[in-house]
Amino acid sequence: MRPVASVSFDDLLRAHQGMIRAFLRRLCRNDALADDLAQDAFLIAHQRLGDLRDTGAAKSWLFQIAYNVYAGHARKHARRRELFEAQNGADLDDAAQPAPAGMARDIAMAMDQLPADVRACVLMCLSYGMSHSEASKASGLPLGTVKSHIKRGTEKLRAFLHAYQQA
Amino acid sequence: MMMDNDPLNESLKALLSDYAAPIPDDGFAALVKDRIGRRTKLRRALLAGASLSGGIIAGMQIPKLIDLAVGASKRGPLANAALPDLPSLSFSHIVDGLAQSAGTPMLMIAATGICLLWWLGDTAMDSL
Repeated sequence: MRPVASVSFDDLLRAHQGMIRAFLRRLCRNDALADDLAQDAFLIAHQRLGDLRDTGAAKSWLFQIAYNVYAGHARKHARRRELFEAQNGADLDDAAQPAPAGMARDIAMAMDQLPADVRACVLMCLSYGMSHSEASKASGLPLGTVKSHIKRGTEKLRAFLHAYQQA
Repeated sequence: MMMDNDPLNESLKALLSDYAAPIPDDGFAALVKDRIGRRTKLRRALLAGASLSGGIIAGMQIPKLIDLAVGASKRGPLANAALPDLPSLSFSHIVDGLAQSAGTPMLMIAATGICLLWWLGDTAMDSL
């Protein structure tokens, strides 16, 4: 275990802000909201910096905070979103997402079809190279659930990719 | 990790890496540090305000404490007489004592002020 004494908040912020913001943007599908949540996550990280015992675990620790902030927001606004969608027939968080083009758009659409917790697990493991146990710790989901989420998500994405390559 | 030799899976990983590519800073770190600075200042101000309020309330009790100490010394350190009446530390007795020394309207205003400060601090902390 590496000592935590050398970890400064500035270093953590600089090293991980890009990943945390990208992760939250893909979960929220709203850039402005994702950046607000990322700020909240880093404020919490600043308050709890003393809890970080192992500098090697900083990445999964930050992802854990970010995912908890996102989950808290999602719970808080679930009812509001339902009302909005019932009235407008659109996802509230989709409003500010710029549309990517081509293959990137298609993979984004395929990912967006996955439930948020499945999407989070797929992102953590396939995009950010975290192990299943790290993703389990970060998401608060049991290890078996994380594995099944990744298997299910990967199968859907592979099916999509296969169909895309066939087309 | 899993299915690393599958070319389809490698393509998927490559696509997902692009999909979730880290975002350039663009002033984000400065914003976070600015928010932390503002929250720290606000926290210090709230702490100072709370200490001041607590100090005033505690200071108003000092004359009673002096009276008690003077009364005890007049009786002599080893006197067998009964101990002087000790002030009660229950909330109602403290409020009664404050009401007698400062007046009930002042106490009401002070309590309202403290509640208002608490609410303002809480709201400001959430918005920062």
